Amino acid sequence: MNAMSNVNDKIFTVCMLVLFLLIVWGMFLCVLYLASVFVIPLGAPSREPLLLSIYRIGATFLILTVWVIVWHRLATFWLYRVLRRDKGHGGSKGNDSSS
Amino acid sequence: MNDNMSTILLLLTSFILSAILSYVLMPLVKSLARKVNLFGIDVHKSWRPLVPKIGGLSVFIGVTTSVMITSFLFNMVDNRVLAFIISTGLAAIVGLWEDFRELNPILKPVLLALAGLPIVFMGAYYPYPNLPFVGKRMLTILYPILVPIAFTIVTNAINSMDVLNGSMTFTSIVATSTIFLINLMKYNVLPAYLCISLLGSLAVFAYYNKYPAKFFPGNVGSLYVGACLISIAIIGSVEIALLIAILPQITNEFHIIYSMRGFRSAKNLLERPVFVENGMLSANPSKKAPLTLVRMLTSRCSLSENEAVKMLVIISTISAALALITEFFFIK
Repeated sequence: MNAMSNVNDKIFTVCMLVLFLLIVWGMFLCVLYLASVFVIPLGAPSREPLLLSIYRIGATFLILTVWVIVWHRLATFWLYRVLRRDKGHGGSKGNDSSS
Repeated sequence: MNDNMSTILLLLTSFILSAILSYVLMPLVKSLARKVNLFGIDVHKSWRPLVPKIGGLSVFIGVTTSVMITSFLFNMVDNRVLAFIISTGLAAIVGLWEDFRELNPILKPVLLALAGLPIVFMGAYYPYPNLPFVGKRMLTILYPILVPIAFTIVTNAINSMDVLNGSMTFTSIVATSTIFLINLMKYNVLPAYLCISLLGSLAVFAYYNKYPAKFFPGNVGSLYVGACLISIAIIGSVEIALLIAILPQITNEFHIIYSMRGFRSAKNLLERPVFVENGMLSANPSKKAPLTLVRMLTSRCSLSENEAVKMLVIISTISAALALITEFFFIK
């Protein structure tokens, strides 16, 4: 019974991480689309006012900053609310770096 | 000999040659590690074995020598091949330096960015990336600035995945195979040939790095593999596909940096992301611990090292599928 629940937990973890990956992928495509619409002029370069250039770069930085914050918040939510199930643990301290 | 036959021969020769060279180099790397005392403790085993930690040197020398020989034999020598050899070589040197002596966490990304400069100065890039939904965009000014940044991101992302036996090697094999497949389907012979050289070496190294590891890739291995991947993606104009194929690695790196509030040495961590007990990994429940992919994997149930690596490979394979979908369905 315990082994069965362990297998279910592993399957659940992989499925939830794949779902997380799908959301991150979708977000990445959206950010790329928004950045390419706002910041990169289509076709040959044309002289544009300085203010417009500043606006383009500012808009991209804003998009990237929002994305970074949302991405991290989502990961934190996923770890503490979706994946984790409260359980006690002990054990010797190690690290996850093998080299 | 027609073009197709010549391409198949080139791919086969470079795969076999890099695999053989890496295999032959393994004992030499082991004796070098013994001479300079470069061993790492495998902290996830109860018996805590000492493992040579510059195994990646065989991948670096194997791929570089194979590319030098085959590019000369098959008349493939051009500025892109030379830029690939120099840029990836510089990244390997940075990695080797860190294996000997820990680098300042701010200096390391700067040096890795500099490693990308030969690609820029030798003109081994095409500044018209094909973006999803919108097609080709002209980035003649921005692209050369993005190359060093991309070098730092990708090399560190691959490096951040080197946490368990085989985790960096197997996930990199998945990403390299994806980039190889995309280049082959687009008939980009040069990037496909560079990919297959890397695959040959990685296939041999995977045998030595799989659980229980006889060699660690070290920083020299992981930074070299990361540099190879980003160089090939730039040369083959498949940058977006690569970024998606290594999304798990980038996610891992990004959340470590974000939760540590900047570039810091892993040795200065107050809390470790995972605990190890009797060979089983379980997530550290503390909110102060860095958010890593392995911590996410082990947050619900404890996993053996082998199981965690298998899960990472599954997630990398899904990411590879997303990269293929993006390249062939969303990029015009």
